[in-house]
Amino acid sequence: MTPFRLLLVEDSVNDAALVTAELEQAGYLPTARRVETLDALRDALATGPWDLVLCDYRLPRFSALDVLSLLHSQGGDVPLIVLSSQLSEDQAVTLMKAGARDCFSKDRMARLGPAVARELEETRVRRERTRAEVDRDILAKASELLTGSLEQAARLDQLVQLMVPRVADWCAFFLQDPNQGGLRLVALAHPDAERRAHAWKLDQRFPLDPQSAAGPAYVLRTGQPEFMPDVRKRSEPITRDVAHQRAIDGLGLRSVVNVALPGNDGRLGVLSMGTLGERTLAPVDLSLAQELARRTGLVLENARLFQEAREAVRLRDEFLTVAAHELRTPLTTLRLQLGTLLQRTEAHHLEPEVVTRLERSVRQVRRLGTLVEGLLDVSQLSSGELSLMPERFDLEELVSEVLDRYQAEARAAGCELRQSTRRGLWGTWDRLRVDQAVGALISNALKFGPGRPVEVDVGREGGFARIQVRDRGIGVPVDQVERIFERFGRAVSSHSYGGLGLGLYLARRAAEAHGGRAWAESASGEGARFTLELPLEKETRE
Amino acid sequence: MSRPVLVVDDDTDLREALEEVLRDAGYTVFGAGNGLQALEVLRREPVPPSLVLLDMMMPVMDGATFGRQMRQVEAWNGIPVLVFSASANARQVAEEMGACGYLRKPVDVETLLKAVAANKAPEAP
Repeated sequence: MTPFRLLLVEDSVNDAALVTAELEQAGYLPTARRVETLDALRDALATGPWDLVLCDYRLPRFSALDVLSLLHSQGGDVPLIVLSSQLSEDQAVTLMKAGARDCFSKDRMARLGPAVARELEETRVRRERTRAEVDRDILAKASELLTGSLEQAARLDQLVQLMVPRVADWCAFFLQDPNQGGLRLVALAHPDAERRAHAWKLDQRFPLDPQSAAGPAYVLRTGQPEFMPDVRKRSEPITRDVAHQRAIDGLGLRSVVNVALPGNDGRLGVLSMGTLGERTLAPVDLSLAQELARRTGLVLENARLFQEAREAVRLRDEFLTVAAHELRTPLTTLRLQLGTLLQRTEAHHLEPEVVTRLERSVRQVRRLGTLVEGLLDVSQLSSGELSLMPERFDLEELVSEVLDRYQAEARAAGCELRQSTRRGLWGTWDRLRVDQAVGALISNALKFGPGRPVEVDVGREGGFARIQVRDRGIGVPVDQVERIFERFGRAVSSHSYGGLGLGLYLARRAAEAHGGRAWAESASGEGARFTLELPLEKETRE
Repeated sequence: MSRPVLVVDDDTDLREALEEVLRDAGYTVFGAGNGLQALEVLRREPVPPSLVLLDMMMPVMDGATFGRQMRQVEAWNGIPVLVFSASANARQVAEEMGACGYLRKPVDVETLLKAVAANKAPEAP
């Protein structure tokens, strides 16, 4: 026997009994309801869903056409078959045109069984197709929401709205409370404002019991989806708290689906949806909920990871800033002490060996200072652009200053520093940044081309000043010439050559902040030429 | 006798190193470990310093507060202040407090002496 929900619009109790008997004989088990007024019909439709409407053609105060127009106005998807004692062909045509699925005389009831079979099947197929479209539409809109730029709370709010009323009467997200643990209601859709407020209050008053044997907390704990077509038959209570259970029962739930939101390390929360009154959820609703939960979980997880990564970077930068700041004071003391010692040693003509060692110490302390500066700059750069403090100066003079500073290091590396410059290259640049950038190129050349001369050329190319540093060292493989300008980037193993891999990166960023460029040209084994290009005209940039 | 230089820094080792460098170069130097001590030095000494070398981050009274309080006393208002800070925005800080210049830590002997010589108030004829 096939069960289905039948709505009978019939004023005769006898005829209704006749119809039911006929259907049972044809192998159907209808849950039938008989109405005989339009108002009663309207009420009955509101408690749907119905699988079929059988309607008498002539009723005391209205006709089958009125029933059809009411069905249309309700927008439902219920087929209607008209039964009549006498029906002209014209009347039948009019009815069929108005949307009746079939019409036939009550004295030919044998047709009822096959007609019902056909309508139920067609309705099933039609409803499945419609439902598939609804699912597709909901998931498409959900994807749009999930990948959009909304804040998480607003995003979840809109997601639950997608499900109501098309799939369920209410829909909610519960998420794990990161501070207190346990599940908290974070988004809820329900057409009735009073019920909505009630649900929020309920969540405040009665946090879900993590150990409960059913409901969202159970689903979170086990990961098992929960599908209850009829919660009134639920064997396990959601809560051991009697008052809480009574409050839940007071919600008037009929069907419930609870599915977990999957995360990388366990479950993030639960998507919960349900129906009220006569409406029930089906397995197809469970599938939709699972898919929605899967997608939501993925996005929440990504958002969490992104947040964590951002926080880690922030902490690192904060640490670098503090560390660099703290290192500067002892560095200053060291530098001044060594400087004083050196001066006194020279003044008193002490052993040359002492002078050499002091000079070496000064060099190393200065190098330490450069490393510390690099660390601080890199932490500032990760939070934005280099801020420039431009002033007008002669580039040639600055390059000479930098070269003077590197003479001792060059001697130590066995390199001769050769300078060919063009006088009068005035521009408005940040002296400190340009100084650092030129220093980085020279330091780089000394490091990778020891024992060979390093040539530094300052010239002009169009509207740009060009500083070129050429070494005759190991060179840079073609596929690495861009990489060496990246943060912490290096073309060689950090085991062979020291350094933090920041100098060239900072040099390029400094050049770019001025509206210029920095690049390298090289063939492996033939040395490298590094160029720093700065605009000669004053740049009006922030 | 030339007017003294006032060195204000909470790091004792650094302060003493600074004092040493400046004395070697022929300056008379007073030291103070924070802004409050620096104000005491100003009150105590009959001749106002020709320059204040001022650290910013200090306990008890920081450099900015000291700078503000110093400017409120007319006799001290004209004393040049050279900001001496480890902070990346030393220049900005110096501009905000109307200092005559800034030095960023770390610094070497030559740079320090050059900056002090360039910024100290001229000796009275």
